[in-house]
Amino acid sequence: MSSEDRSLRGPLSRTAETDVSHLLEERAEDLYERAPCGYLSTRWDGVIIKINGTLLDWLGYTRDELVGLRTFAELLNIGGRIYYETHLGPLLVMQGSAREIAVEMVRRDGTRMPALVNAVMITDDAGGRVIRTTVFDATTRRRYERELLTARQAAERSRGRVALLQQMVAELAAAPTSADLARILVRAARGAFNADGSLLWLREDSGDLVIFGEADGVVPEVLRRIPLDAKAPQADVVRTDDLLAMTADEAARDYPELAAGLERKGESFAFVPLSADGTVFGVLGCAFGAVDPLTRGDLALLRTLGHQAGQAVARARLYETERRLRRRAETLQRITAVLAELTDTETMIDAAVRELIGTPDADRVSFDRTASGRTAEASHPDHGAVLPLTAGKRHLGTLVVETDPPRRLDDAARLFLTQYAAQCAQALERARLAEESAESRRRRDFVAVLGRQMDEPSGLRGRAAVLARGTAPALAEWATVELLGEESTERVGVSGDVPENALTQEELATGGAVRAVADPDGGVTKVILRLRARGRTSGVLVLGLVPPRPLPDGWLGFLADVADVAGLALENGRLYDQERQNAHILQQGLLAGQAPRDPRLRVVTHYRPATDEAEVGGDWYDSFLIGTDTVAVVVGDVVGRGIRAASAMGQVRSAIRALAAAGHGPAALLTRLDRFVDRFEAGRMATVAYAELELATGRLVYACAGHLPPLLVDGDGGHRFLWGGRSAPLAAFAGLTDRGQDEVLLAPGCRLLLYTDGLVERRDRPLEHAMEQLAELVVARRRAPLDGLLPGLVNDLAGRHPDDVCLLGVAYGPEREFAREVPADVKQLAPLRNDFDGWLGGMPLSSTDRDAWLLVCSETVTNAIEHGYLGDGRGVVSVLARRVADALELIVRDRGTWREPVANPGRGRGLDLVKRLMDRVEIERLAGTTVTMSRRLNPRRAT
Amino acid sequence: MNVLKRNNVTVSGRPDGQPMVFAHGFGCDQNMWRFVHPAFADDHRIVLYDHVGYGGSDVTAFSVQRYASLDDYATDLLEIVEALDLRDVVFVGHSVAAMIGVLAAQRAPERFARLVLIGPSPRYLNDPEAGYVGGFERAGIDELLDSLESNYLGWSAVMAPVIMGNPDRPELSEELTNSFCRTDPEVARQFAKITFLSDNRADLSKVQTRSLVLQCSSDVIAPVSVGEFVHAHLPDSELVILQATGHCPNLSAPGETVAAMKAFLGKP
Repeated sequence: MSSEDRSLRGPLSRTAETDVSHLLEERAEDLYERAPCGYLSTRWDGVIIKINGTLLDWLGYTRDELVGLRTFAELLNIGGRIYYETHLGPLLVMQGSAREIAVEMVRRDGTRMPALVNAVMITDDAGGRVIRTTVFDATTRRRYERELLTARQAAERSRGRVALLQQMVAELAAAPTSADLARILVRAARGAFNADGSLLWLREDSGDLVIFGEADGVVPEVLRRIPLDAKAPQADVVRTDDLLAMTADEAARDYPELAAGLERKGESFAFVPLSADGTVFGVLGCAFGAVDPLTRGDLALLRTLGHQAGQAVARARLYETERRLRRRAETLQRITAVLAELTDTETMIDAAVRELIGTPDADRVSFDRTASGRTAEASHPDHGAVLPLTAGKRHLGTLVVETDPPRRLDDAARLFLTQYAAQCAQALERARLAEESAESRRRRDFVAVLGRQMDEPSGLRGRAAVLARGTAPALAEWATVELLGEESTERVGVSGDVPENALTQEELATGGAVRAVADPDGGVTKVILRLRARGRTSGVLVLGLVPPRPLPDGWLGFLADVADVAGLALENGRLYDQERQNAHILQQGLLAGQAPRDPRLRVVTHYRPATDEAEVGGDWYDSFLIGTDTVAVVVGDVVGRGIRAASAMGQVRSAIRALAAAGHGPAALLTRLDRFVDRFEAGRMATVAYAELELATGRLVYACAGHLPPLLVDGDGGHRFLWGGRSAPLAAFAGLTDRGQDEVLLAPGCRLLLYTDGLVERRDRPLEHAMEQLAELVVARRRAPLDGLLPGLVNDLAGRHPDDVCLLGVAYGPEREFAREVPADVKQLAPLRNDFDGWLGGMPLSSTDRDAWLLVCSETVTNAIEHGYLGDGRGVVSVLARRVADALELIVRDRGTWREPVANPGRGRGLDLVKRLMDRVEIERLAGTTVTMSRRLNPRRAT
Repeated sequence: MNVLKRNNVTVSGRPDGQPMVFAHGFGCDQNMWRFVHPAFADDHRIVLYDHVGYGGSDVTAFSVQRYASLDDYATDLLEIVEALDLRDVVFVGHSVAAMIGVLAAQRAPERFARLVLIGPSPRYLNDPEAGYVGGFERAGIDELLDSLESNYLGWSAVMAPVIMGNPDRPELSEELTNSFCRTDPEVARQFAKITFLSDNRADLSKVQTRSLVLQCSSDVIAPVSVGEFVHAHLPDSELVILQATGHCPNLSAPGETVAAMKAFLGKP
């Protein structure tokens, strides 16, 4: 063996082995006691029955303290005991041994000794069981194992965190908004780093850190908003752009202000900047319990998390900005489109409010009308904006925009809201202009319509009434039209509830075409319009406003237009009234002449003016004596209306009288009349029916120039229209017209009727029918008094036909009998009396007798009407007068029930009067009452 | 998911006998019953199973979310009972499995005829406010969790899938020690947390099934006072204090355990 070989020999060389051989002789007991490991034997129930010195030394016990007294499990810590009971013990039973069990033994002094334990169960034939256990001090090894375990745990945790971080980065990349981001970050802090709590602060435009997103429980106010210059870890993090980790103690020491808020949250804290490209967007704060302190790797991961989150925040900010811009642009577009469809201001305001709600800059929107007139400038309080809406100069109110939660709007948001309000204001202005133009059109139309309506009635009063009705309630609550007289005013038109003092003298005296009268509060109570035309003020229109209020824009001008139109219409009405009045006076004068009186005939006339009374027509009638034995009757119709027609009629009428006096007969008269008309241009195309009646013979010579034929009815009911002697209207042709005439012999009792076309001409029925109807009516009423006949005919035939109507009736010859039937109506008395008077004229009576008979007739007929029919007008009273030998007999009969009227007891005395005047009076009451009276004719008295 | 495979269910004994389902507690696997169940095989249909993550169960079925509470383990038990369509079941649960049986019987009382609860504890932690002594403070439980992390009993991340998937190939487990209590440490840790931090005191009174509480005379894990508490709160229960000590009379004193069970089951 070389020296080199020897030099390699160590303690285990054969030489040494040889030197210690005596030690191998040691006793087994010593080997047990001083073995390099612990030995332990226990009974089946765990009680220690043998233990070696090595283990006693390690644990610091004496043998006496353990053997027979303590169990092996009692030398373990609590976890070890459980482990022993649940694992080691069962293993021994099930497989007879357990190896390499790591336990922690508790020394006598309470310190721990990590140990590795092997155990084996020894069984003897008798079933006795002992457990032998070897114990190795594993302090170092366990420390190493612990380190390995910790490293592995850290690696696993780190692996888990990296995985979570990766997942989070992916989620962050997909997170579109800051809110999503906040959620992900807070979750990551808890999941990956076992943070007990985490909060996220994001920086506002101001630079302040403001808490964002969800937080656990109540966040102290001091943590909600952290100014950048605050003595706060979050602010420091923003300034340094570096992570800050600290224990609760350090936090309390360095940041006492925040200590209160942080204290309860954990044992240590980390504040992570969320930054990208040198900009810190926010801070993630995490609170940790004591169990898992952060490692350097954790901090590195947190930094990474912060950078990733920072980039995500930057991206989200960009995205949110972009989205907000798009939303704003869309909102502006939409409100413009929406408002373009609307015309009503209120609806537009509603839309302006509605469309803004829920846009990113406005969580609550309202419209404040009360602010109208106060603010015209947009303002931006901390929590939103106040935006005035104006249309033209009119301030409608303000859009009040609020953010929820309250936040200050940035410049872009303010710009958007201002633009939005401007869009709304523009639309409102457009609507206002359109409304204004529509309003002005409406006003023009109103004035035009009012003018037309006022022109419809021709007279001043009618027009005044239309003016009042046309302006109230259309323009005001009440209206009155006052005409100005020489000394006083006259109210001619009212509409609505016109008060007593509608127009005071003072107001009347104060000038101005349109004058608004205001109450002390400035509300207009009434407007006075002076109605002028052609330099003349015809009246005033007073419009009353209830309640008083300001006049709408532009009303004074509008009312001035109303005053102009109304003034002109009233003035025209006044002129028209004047002209018509003149025409009436003229016509009345022309028609007022006395019919000739002769016992051999009666002439009655009737004129029914045109129904609207607006126009004087050209119809006329006339009757006059030619010599002593001939009566001329005329009915004519001059073309046209009004005063010109009336004067032409007057000329033609006079011409006829003048020409008739020559006695050439009807045809020659018409020929000459043509010349007259042709020469004087008055009455061209007029129609005339002209007849001359010889009273002695009953010969009637007649001619009709374009006029309807006279109607002839005899006493027996026969009738004919006199179709002879017809020719064209006056001066109808340039040359002279050949005029003809015809004649007919009238028997006594005949009636002749001349009439104008207004009586029979209708658009809705043929002329022949109307004439036939006329004939039937006249025949049926041939016994009615002539006087009452004509108005009845007009009523029944012309009714409400607007044309004027002229009628002339002739009753020829003394009738043998005066037989009449009249309605039981006192109004019939006068015509009956006239008629009777005419008949009596043919009798040989003195005027005294004649008056007596008239009186008797009146009394008895009155009695019949009043007693027989109680004056109800529905019965008929028959009157029959005739000559019987040398006496005159009058029979008055009614078919009513005779009653004594209470109303007028004095009336009954009439019968006494009748009895005194008559020779004989008989009263027979049988199916009515018949009074028969007679009195002798006294030739002597006749004249 | 095959429930029977998932929980490594083994059925033996008399096929038409009243079913007895044995559930092991925290720690090992169905081998815990090896000295007990043969005593009932003549009269009963014996059903043994492993909790997921233990013994021959399918560890891939485990997740922290799926097994977040004892109720989730009770669900497994009920699924096994359903899968085998067991009725009139005698449930035998050791340690924490006793509470699993309590929860299952409460949810499906119609399936269970008797409960045998060995070393049960509804709450391991002391509750001074309620005057309840469970036997442990939180620190002790933390020490246990430490122990679990130090002792990968027979566990190897490489071998685990092979072993777990092949319970019928014992040669694979020969290389590994302590194979009866092999567990994925994550499973063990989770099961330990659930076991020792649950509070099922309120569930006891809801059980209608007739129950036997088998209590060892000296049990570090479930003291006698806890057994008495369980008995007091289980409406239809009886308590037997065994001579045996420790927490596993089924292993340490199978004879006495079987005798007590038979006496209970023999009662009308």
